Amino acid sequence: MYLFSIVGYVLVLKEKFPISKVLVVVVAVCLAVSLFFNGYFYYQLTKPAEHQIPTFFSFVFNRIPVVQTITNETLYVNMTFEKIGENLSVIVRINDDNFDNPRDGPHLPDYLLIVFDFDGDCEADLGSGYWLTSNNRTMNPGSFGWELKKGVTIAAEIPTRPSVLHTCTFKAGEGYVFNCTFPIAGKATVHAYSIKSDVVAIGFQDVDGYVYIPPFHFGVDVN
Amino acid sequence: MRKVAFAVLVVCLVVSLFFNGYLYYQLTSKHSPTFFSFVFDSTMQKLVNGTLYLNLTFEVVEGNLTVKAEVNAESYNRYAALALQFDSDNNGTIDIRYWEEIDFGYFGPGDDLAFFLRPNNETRPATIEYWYWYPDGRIYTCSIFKGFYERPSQYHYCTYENGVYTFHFTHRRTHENPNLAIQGKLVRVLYGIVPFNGGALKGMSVYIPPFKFME
Repeated sequence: MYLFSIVGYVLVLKEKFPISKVLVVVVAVCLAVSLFFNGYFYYQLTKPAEHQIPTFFSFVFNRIPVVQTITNETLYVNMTFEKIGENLSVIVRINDDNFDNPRDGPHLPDYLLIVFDFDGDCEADLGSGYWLTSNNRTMNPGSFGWELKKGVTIAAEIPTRPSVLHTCTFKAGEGYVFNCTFPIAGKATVHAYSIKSDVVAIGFQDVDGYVYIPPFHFGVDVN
Repeated sequence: MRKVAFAVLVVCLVVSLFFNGYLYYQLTSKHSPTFFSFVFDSTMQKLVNGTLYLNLTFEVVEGNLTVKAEVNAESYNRYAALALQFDSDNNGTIDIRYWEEIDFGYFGPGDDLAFFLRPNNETRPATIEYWYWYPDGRIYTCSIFKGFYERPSQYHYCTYENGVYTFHFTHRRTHENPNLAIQGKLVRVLYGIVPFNGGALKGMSVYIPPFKFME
């Protein structure tokens, strides 16, 4: 019964709306949709793109004595910045080829020097920075002398303490991973100043050499 | 009449679908520009009295790499220069030639592409007769006759407005001769006051070691 009704209905429609008319309407609708997407894609293509500051940074140092002598291959310093709660997580990977333990000789442990903007002037505060060693020790910022271009100079024996700001691991064939956590947004602690803007400078020293990266914006809102 | 309308509509639809495909391809192959901002305070440079900002924006547009470099300056200086060198052969490093025994950096045939850009839209070829770039960032120029060594650039133009130089650099990403294309994602950068003949004075240049400008 229903089948007959439907067939009848279609026949009536077919008489009222010939197939050529239907096709014209269908093609017109398709064209309208297609033109809409033309406009949409064109708008997406031509609208001014927003600048994107990456939160992953990779610096590369050739194995040339005046550039770096830390490894016998190209040295990579890869950094990731991420805001986690009220802290800034910084992971620094460096493909150093040996772990230098200060107990093995009269030298400093390998270390990461990391300098933030502590006073809010959007510059790395080159007078104070974090000294984070490969054997998970540190000193209070400002308690040691250093230059970004040259690294740390410690004239006298200054006591270090276990670091609560970082852990460092070394894996043969891969190098160091410094996993650091720093307070931001006015959450200074006895161990750390709070970071006021997204400017950072980095240095890395091992017994064989030193490299540094000039201050740059790392693109994480720390306020 | 209906047939004609139908034919016109079909043709329009085909053309529109073709453009959809083209625009979609362009959209999916478009990368968001990446932005890097380096900050050199007055202890790190003597180019300006306060802080020097070197902002770099990288974008791939229609198969070309564009670099916009903005840097603040106290006044226009004909001797200002922006230098860029890329990992143009995409081997994961910027190949830098250095003759250690006599402390000499130089360019050679087939090297990674390097560009020396002046604010007056002039440049000089990256060969040893014109300039050379040490691995640690120092640049030296060699010139006797300025007019002979510096020539109009086909890769960049530069504006100076409100105390800011803006260098606009464009170069193709692909070419049938791979030595003529910037294929890789690494760049090293120098900005400074570099004379026609010689190197920048101490503190009169800032250098950024090779870094990845794009994922």
